[in-house]
Amino acid sequence: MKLNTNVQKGDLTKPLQKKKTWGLIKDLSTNRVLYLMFAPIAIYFIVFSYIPMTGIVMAFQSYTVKGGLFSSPWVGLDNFQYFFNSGKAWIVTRNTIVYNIIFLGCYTLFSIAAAVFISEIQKKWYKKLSQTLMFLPYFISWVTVSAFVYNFLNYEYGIVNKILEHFHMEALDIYSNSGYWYVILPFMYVWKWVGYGSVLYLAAIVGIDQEIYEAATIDGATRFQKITRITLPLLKPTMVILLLLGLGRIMRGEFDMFYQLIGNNGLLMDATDIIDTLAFRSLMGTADFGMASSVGLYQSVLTLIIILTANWLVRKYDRDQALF
Amino acid sequence: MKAFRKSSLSVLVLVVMFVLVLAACSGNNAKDTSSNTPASTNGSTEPALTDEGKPDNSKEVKIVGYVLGEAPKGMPDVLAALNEKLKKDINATVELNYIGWGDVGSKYPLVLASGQDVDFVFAADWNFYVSEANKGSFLPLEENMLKSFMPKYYAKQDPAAYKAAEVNGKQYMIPTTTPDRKVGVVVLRQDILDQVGLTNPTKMSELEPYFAAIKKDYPDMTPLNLDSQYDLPAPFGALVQEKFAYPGAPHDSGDPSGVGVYTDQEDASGKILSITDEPIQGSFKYAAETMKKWYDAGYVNKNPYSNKIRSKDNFCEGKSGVAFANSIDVQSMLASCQDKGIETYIMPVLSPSGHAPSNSWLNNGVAIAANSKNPDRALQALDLIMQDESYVYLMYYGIEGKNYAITADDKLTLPEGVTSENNSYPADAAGFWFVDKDLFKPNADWTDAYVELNKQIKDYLLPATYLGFTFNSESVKSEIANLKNVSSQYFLPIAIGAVKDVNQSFDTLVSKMNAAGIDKVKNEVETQAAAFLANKG
Repeated sequence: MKLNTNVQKGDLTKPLQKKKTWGLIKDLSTNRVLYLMFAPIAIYFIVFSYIPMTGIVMAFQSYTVKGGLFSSPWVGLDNFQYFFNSGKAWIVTRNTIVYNIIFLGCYTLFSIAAAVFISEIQKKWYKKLSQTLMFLPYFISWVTVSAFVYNFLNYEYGIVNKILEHFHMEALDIYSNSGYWYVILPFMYVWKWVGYGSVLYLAAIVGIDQEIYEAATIDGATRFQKITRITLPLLKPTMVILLLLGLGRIMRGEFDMFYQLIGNNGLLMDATDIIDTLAFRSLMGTADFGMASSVGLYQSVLTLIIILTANWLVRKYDRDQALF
Repeated sequence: MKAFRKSSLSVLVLVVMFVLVLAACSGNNAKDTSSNTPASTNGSTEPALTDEGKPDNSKEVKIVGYVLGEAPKGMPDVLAALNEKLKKDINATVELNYIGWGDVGSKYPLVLASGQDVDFVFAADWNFYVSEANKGSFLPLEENMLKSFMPKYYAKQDPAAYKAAEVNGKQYMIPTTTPDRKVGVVVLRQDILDQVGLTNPTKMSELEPYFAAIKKDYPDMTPLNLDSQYDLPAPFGALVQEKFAYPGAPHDSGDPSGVGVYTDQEDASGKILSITDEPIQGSFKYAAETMKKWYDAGYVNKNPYSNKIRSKDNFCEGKSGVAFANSIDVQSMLASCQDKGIETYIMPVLSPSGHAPSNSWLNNGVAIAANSKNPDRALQALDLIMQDESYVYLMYYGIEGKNYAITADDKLTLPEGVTSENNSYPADAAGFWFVDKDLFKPNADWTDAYVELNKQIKDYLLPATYLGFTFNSESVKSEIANLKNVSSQYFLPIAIGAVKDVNQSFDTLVSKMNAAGIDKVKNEVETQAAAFLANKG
């Protein structure tokens, strides 16, 4: 297999190099239908991702309305100063990455588990019901979630503390102790996203050839064996792709969640501050576009590094599953 | 031939994509230049006047305005009435847009920067005025523009207000002619005051028995039920006020929950102080110790950061023992408490000498956007809206007979069948806070305590040394951004008393402020403040 691809590659590169300029046009003409199908998505990304990238220049400018994007005065790296002088650049970068790795791990784990369980449920109505209930949180905005989390957990009249009081236990002061939030935040994240994630994996499970299961049944495999030996290994490609895509968002913390659930709570801040919340809090009062884009650029550069590293690792381990 | 068609098609796709990209780029450029021209021409040319010295209004124009908040339900009717009047008077109509409170921070700068159709916009020193003026979002105003297009306003306004509105030597805002006459107030329940035998308390620190009684006898009520925005620094501020004339917010941010550089309002020399100077440090520690005592005793709600309901909004429901407000926005609450049969006691928050600083002109105002196509007509419209009695009543109170009525003894009231709940255009709610409030009549439903308070306010208010001083933070904006952050993390817990050890937390705060560059900010404030005082003479 490996040898084969190498030989093919070697054969192809020679003629391509000869007429490189005509290669692209020729390729376009032979695969025109494919390229046409690709065109809308290409245009989408050019318009919404590549063109807006020019906005990066704002990170190096002192933005004025008159000068706009192209003729505002340049200020070099001044806009980056505040972030690196805040003394929190390292803490928030670490928090952002660690939280997102935990989120991504829990999300993947629970989504796969949920998808496998749903696929094993025999009663159709129960299957539909559980899927719907799991998907529901996806549609609730974090603003609403923050309101009911507050009503559940607050010290004076939160439901949790009322129940504890009922059993003559000490009330928990959850909003002043960062320890609880290491558990609450991943829990809320999984609660909100697991329905969505399980659908992706469920689709992959449905795509698995039923004959494999039938053969396993004939061979006397138990249900558990079928899951561990057939379903999970066949889910691996989907999982790797989704994980890699998830890594693309790793520097973009789930801002809504952190901002709504924690807000400006100084007591929790060292444990729960992420890049987005730090930037939002410090720049809300100044509305400085340049400083805000400098943080955005910082996040993007780190994301690029992380994706390239992760992809490189995947390539090294299993070439076929890498993104590029 | 067939092959050629194939390839030409794909080339076509490429060309189309390329053109799209170019179009998007050039579109940006075109917008940029077109938005630049009116600003630059308008800034330099003399106002266009006809021979009789009257502005030329022969061409009908539409003026687009942005104000803050939510449009009241009755806005379409009011706007129709306004446009009818404006059409007749200056041949113009107004289109009004609202920027919701939740989006102000993100949307306000964007509306101004996007170059979209906007002529006038609400402006205030507490709402990005200086930073937007620095960015060049507003049209610089010249005195002769105000004189010729806003004659009523020009006749009434104190010239000191123009000076106050200057940023880098240019005026960008049309400040209100009537700065709010308001003081911060603390509202208490008379029944509980009677129960603990407190008569006419004047200081926050005297209220401890009041809190203890609430804690003991009213299980559903939290003595200090603070919200995350307005109330959070309020009790701390009230305690500091007992020691010196605390401006309520540091000089460099105007944000009550911020930290930075302070001054004693009643110190005529206007010495600029940092948090480690006296009287700041002593009074802050006193306030912090008191708050900690109350927090530990359970008088303060444990997590004000997540609480979005202001104490004044659940005081009448019996959820909060104290309501923090100012003497203007407290009105509706007092009326609602009266309806529920709760007797209230109003305690103004005053300095040790019994005064409160009068408000700056810049507290409420309006600015012309740099990209405005019809600045002269917008100014004329604003002159009417701000200073003409019929316009002022229309924009502030709504339509007579529908949203408000005037009693026989010349007081404002609601028309028959309209209550404060179902009024489609409640007073003060439409965002036109910059109108001439001297034209208002008293309200018929004001409680006796409120009328009494309003009578006294005149005597409380004292112009502070730095009245009209606006700090331009452009050169220290990195430091300000970091101080804001330090404030959230290290100062706010001190302000609500949620720290283990006041002295230790204070030391941490000071070291973090030093690291964030407080000295640089202080130097900058001192330079600008000295220039301001020298100018004032």
